[in-house]
Amino acid sequence: MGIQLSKLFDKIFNKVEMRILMLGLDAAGKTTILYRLKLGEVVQSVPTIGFNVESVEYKKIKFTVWDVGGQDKIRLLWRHYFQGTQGLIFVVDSSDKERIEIAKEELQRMLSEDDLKEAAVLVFANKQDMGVMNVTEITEKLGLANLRGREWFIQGTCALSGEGLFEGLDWLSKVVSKKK
Amino acid sequence: MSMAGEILSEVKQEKLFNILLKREENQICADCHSKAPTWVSLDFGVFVCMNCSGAHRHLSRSVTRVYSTKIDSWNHANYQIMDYVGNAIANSYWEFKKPPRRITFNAQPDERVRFVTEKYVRKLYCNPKAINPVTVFLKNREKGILERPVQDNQEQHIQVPPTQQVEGKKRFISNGAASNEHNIKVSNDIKEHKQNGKQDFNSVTSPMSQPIKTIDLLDVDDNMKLDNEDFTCFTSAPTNLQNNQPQNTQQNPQINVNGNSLLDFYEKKQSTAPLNGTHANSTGSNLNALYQNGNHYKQNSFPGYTNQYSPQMQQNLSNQVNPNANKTNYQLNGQLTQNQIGLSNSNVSTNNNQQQQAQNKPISLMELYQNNGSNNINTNNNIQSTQQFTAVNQPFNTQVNANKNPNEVVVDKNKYQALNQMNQMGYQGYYPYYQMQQGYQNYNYQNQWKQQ
Repeated sequence: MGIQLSKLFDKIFNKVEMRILMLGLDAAGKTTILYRLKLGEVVQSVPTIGFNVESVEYKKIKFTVWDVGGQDKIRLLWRHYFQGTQGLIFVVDSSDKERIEIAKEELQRMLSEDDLKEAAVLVFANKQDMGVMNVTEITEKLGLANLRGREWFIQGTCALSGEGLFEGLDWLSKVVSKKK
Repeated sequence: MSMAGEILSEVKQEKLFNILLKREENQICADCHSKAPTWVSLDFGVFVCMNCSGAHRHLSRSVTRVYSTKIDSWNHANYQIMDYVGNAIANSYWEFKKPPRRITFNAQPDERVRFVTEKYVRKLYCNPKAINPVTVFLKNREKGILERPVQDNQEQHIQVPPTQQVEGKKRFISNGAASNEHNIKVSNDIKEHKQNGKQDFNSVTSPMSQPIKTIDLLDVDDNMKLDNEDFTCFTSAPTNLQNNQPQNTQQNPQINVNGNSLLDFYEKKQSTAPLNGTHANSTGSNLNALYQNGNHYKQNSFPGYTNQYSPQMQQNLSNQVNPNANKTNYQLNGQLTQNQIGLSNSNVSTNNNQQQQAQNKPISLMELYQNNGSNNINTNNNIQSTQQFTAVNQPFNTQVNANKNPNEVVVDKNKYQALNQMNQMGYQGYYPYYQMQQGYQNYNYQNQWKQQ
């Protein structure tokens, strides 16, 4: 009954839902970002085995964010979350030059998946406070400029301070509203 | 974690990490001590639980790389780090000092972050004189050395078994006379002993029935290749023994018993073959250092050997060797001063004990024996510095023994130094043979005999 009522309200007030999948290498800051968006505070996270899912309301859009663990062997499980994903948030650890190449491979592999053809790609260049790689550098190294036929956006963030997170959601909301 | 290097297959990785995680040191989290950690903080070389791994990840990847042993794939190089470091060695550095506020398994995440930051970033508890064992290992590995980076501080806790370091198979004959005090003091008891000894030797008729067999045990030693002993020397007995039981060896039937038992002993010893096995492998620490540490003879190198001696037997042995032995002091190539260990030197001999005593130049029983019947005596007690010392390896055969060059004495300088140090430490120069072998800390041996 409550669910039906809330759905009715959503239709009345033109509330939009968006299914977001948040991926990235391990220790990139996905879980921290998720709870920073949800709770507005930094939580001390532990490595995610499996996934976390939270819904975040922003600008009348309900983002259902799936945060999936990024360890080497559980990256294979990412594809099970692809179906129905409207937006893909790819989180990169900007301080980790060592593995930026691996991050690129993972991203390119995902973008070639059929299930993600429709998904908009938002890249969070996280840990900008470390001052190692800036957004331009990450854009180059991920080969984003070569993406064809896909909407993408890169946003420098700092999950600890919350900088850049909602700017990223802003872009996502625009994409959603465009499609409608 | 796909890095350069051989990536372990899933099965192999599981097998290999099972080995590491079964080690006792790795069965608890290095930080909160909760059980069965499966995460690794690679740059600190520790196995941690999942909750603590979160705190380690908080330090950023430039400080440490956190991997799961299960859901990360590993290459061989990184596995090697964890193999050679692990919680014990890592914590001997990172927790050199005891943390005043240790976290427990139920600690809150922010507590963990605080503790991990204190421990690994601020290095509040680490050993300031050492460096991260992982760094040590990596440096060693670059040089091609694969070894556990054991920290200095850890070595203090590891009790290094005192091993007996001896080069070559040489025999050391000493009467064990030590300090000047001993040489100066000549008690009446000892004079009696000398007289008795003299009588004893004058009465020798058959080599096999001689009490000198006890001395000949030295040759048994050599024959049995007990070459790594620190002191195959027969030393003079404790003074209380000689004083309490002045012994006329000629009248004492125990002499023969002693001789027989020595024969028995010899046969037994032949049957205890693997004497050398435990022995030859003895490596390691400096003998002198061991003495100084007071750890000497903690480990008996061949228990089967010394247990063959009964205290009674030893006493007989000592009483026979003792009387003159304790009083001998020679100079040898300038290596030994008067304060240092006296040598039983077969070159120095006399057939006139009274004269020797008058000159306060006592001699050993062995010398007496070896020069028995010979009146051409070298009475120079201050040994010639040019004297040659060579190895004597004679079987247990008195006849051969009788033919051998009495000038031949084996000298191992290291042993002299060791003995010398012991003397200076106040051991007063006598070392009963069983004590030498059994070790000062092992008194069970004596108790065993008492029980029997």
